[in-house]
Amino acid sequence: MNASRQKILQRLRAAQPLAAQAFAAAQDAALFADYPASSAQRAEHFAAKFVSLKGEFYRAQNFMEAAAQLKELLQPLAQNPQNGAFCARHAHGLLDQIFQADSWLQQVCVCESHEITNIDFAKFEAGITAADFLVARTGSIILQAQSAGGRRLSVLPPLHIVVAQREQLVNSLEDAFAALSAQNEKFDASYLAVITGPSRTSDIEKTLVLGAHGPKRLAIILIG
Amino acid sequence: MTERQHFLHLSAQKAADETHRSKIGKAIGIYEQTVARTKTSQFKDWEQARALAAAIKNEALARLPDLLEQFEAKFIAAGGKVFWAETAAEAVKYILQIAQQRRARKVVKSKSITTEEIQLNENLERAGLEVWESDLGELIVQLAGEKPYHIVTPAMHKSKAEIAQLFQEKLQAPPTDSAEELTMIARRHLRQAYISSDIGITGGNFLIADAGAVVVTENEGNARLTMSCPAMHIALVGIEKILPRLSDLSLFLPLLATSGTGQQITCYNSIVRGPRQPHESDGPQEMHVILLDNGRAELYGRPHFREALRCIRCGACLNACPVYRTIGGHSYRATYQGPIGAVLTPHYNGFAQYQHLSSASSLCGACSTVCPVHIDLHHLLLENRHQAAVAGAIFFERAAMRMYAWMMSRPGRLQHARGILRFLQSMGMIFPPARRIAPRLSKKSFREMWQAHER
Repeated sequence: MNASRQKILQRLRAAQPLAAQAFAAAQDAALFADYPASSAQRAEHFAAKFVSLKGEFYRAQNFMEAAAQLKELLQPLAQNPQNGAFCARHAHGLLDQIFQADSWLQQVCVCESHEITNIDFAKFEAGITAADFLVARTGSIILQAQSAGGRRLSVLPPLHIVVAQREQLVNSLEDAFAALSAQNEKFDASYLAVITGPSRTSDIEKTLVLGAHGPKRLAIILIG
Repeated sequence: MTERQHFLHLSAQKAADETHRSKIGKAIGIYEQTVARTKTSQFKDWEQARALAAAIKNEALARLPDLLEQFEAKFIAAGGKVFWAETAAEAVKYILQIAQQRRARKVVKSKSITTEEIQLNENLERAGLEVWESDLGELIVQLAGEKPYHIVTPAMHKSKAEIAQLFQEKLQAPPTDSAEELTMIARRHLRQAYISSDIGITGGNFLIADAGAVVVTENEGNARLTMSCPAMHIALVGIEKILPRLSDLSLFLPLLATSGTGQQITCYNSIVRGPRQPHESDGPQEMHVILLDNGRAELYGRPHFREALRCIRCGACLNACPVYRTIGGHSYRATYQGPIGAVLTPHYNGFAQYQHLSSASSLCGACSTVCPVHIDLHHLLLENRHQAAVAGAIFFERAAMRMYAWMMSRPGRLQHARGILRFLQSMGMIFPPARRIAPRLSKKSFREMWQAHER
């Protein structure tokens, strides 16, 4: 503990207290105009928002379809199939099941690990992860270090593909945060990201450009 | 030159610069349209949302010391380190110390105006470290050898052509007139920085007490890369950035994005709770949070001004301010520009040098109207002026006001004063300010005309 700690805290505590006014916390449903009308519409609501933010949205009925969709997304990126793996994925249960279905996918994808150096990691064309929540109101994907295979996989490669299931949809950010806070053991990751669309910037004359530093493309395959 | 003279000189120059005016007018025009659209499409009632946000921030300030301790305990339990810095110098010293201990040579930074407050780049470079700014706007001002022009859009004052020219000179890039191509040049340029830096330094938009987390808001992904690839992550955060609960983010993330850029929510919001955990596959092995005071605790002790600490640095008051739009961000010569800067800077850097910023306002109140956490900015500016007047720093102004009051309290006195002024004007002894034309005082005063009319 450093000396300034005491000084700062003492100064703050010595200040004349101002009474905090009482206020009523408001639910997201009461605050936001674009709150999903009903739980049944969550997937459609999410898809519409996600697409309007330039995300690529795909639907799959089952793992087989998801594997086929994944293959379709990855094949154009395979410049030289003899080169072997050109993407990385998270060793996540859901992804394991999908990858089982296809030997080509297994061939071109390695599982992420801390042994892969930053330099090698930066060569991957795509990173494939699971997610924790999909937020319908904002079209956001919430993932944590565990569900996403650490931090680099979802941000370093130019294409980030998320595979998620319908049950992971929630109405609004408050539901996701409430679930994380309530089940504290679920929220023990060192890193959590709320991702809303592919990387972007408007720093040059307010012109929107995708893929500033993070993924240029963000795709989601929603199962169910 | 004193700060005041610098300010007068620079602002007079910028106010007359029509190219500057059109660049800023265009950028802020687009911003205003987007913000107006998002306010109504996202919020049922913007006024309700910002009243709630102000109340939550007030709660956080009322409980500030306790919440900071709560954050600290949580963060340390997750394996992070917390350092409290009373001054900018202390923060710099701590960062240099850990950089030297780890034999670091290269630092990658994501945009953080708080690091400008402690002049981190200059200090790191002086110590022999290589510093890479990774936000596109920050990279542009770094290459140009300038300071950020705006707390949210640091390169708002640069046209595409100027940026292309800069990239040609500094990065040996080919000429281009496409914003897309310029962005890709920056992307390629900075990849190396992420994957080879020893330390990643970020700021923090919020600290979450109950989760022990630092929240970093951005669009480009540079902050995410900065806290993913290097072996060490340092976050420098002002002590006032605290929020009590993780759930408060469901309002504050959309609120900040709406006021900051007109987005419903920014592209990436990272919630970081410490270094890489044993079961995680990557991330920094070490994480430090520096809680920066640097004048905040003292401001906290001034009850009239405490509300200024609600600020979430969205930049809305800068964009709304007719003075900022006219004189631009650099004229302030301060880390924080615009109305919030004019409120804070005299407190943080001294009234003696920076009091003039509080007077650089027409008190129109546009800033207070747009502030998403309801800071009564223009009244705080007035309060600053009051403080300075009480401190007696401005003898001349007080004497002038007394004379004015004396003159205005009797019609006869005003009449005489007019006569004297008219005489001086006819002798050419009253000079109007440069670029202004002073109308000639009329032969007859309104009073005389009225009396003639009555007759």
